[in-house]
Amino acid sequence: MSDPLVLPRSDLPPTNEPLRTAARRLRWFRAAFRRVVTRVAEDLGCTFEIDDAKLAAIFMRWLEELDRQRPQERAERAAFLEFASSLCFRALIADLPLRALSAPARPSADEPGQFWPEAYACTIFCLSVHSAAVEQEFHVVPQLSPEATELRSWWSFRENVREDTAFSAGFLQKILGHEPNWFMPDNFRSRLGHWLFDPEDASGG
Amino acid sequence: MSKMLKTQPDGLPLREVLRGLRHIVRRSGEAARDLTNAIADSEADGSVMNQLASTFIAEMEHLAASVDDAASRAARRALGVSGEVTATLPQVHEQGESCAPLAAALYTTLGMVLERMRAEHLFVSEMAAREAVVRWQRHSGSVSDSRLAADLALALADQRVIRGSPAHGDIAVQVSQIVPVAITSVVLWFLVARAPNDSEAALASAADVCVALAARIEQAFSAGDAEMLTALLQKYRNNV
Repeated sequence: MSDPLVLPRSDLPPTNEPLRTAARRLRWFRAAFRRVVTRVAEDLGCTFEIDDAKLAAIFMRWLEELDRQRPQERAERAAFLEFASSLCFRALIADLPLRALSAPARPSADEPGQFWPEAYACTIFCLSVHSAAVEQEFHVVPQLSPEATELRSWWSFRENVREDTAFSAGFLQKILGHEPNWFMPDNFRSRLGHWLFDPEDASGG
Repeated sequence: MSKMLKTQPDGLPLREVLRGLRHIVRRSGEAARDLTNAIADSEADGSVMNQLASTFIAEMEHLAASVDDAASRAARRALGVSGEVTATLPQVHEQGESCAPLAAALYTTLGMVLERMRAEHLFVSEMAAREAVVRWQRHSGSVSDSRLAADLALALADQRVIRGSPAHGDIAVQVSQIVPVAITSVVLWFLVARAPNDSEAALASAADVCVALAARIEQAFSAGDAEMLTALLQKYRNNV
């Protein structure tokens, strides 16, 4: 069963393509982002304004980064699919394409959505698309770390991202239950150990 | 004028003239309003002149919008769908039908892209588009879909399908990039399979992708480098 933080596949825009392919189309990416942000806004009791041009530029930077880091070996395809969501998250956090027009009205004060609504919406977006794509490809539902909702982790996240936006890639990997390489969290080749999901794990899961 | 114009049965020259007049009226509209406002402030009959100017501009807009709507409907019908243009460029090329529907579709979509780029005050010439399509349709030999699109893009630029100069500075790209980016956006969109209900979203996405690639697109157009443009279209056609 999927985590309550994550939107179900049915809440994402429909597509006839595999999600890993659809997510690399700007029109689907944009539609999915809008849907997730709308849902998060309802949950938090606030309104977001999305900067369409900024979102498109972020999408293009993410594609360029995928191109730069995509491994040649087929055996690493699954791991890279999982890693890709943390690169997307990094791109979003580095240049947030949305702005909360009002303070969240619903959550209690210790929730991440109240603490940093824009980053929270981007987190839910990346986790939702990631989970749906991984489940579709490998029939495994990713389990999220409790840190996803711990305010202490979010404090640390926000502080560290001010120093280096690459930290955000590690933050998402941590939420997905992996141990990031904190020296180079946004570098696929430098990932530590056998911590990313791969097809062998899927057959066991 | 070209041979093609002598045999056109669809009133394109008239549409082009009306659009040209509308363009001039729009560009000079603000100046005319300023002038008549100034007269209205100083003279008793100024308000009458102001009203006349406004009425003339509104009539011109209405007339031009009517011919645009008629041309757009005709283009959509001819491309095989009732609501939206869903045929892709290779399909259109393969069918080898009259160049008029494609030129009309190019006119409509170029206008939409320019609007998205906040450069809607530029003039799009459907006649130039048609000339470009005629040249492109004659393209022989088997080339890739992306090369077909690149050839059409460069033909459109050669025919100066977009004319005029920008009126303000709030444009999504540099001035020298407007024409190459707008044309590439449309041919990229024409390469992409799309359903009627997401055709407009696909056009907006194609425009945004091309805005991000503006420098590279401008370079390809400046050099007239069809291969470079083909490579860009091939690389990004799956990202729209």
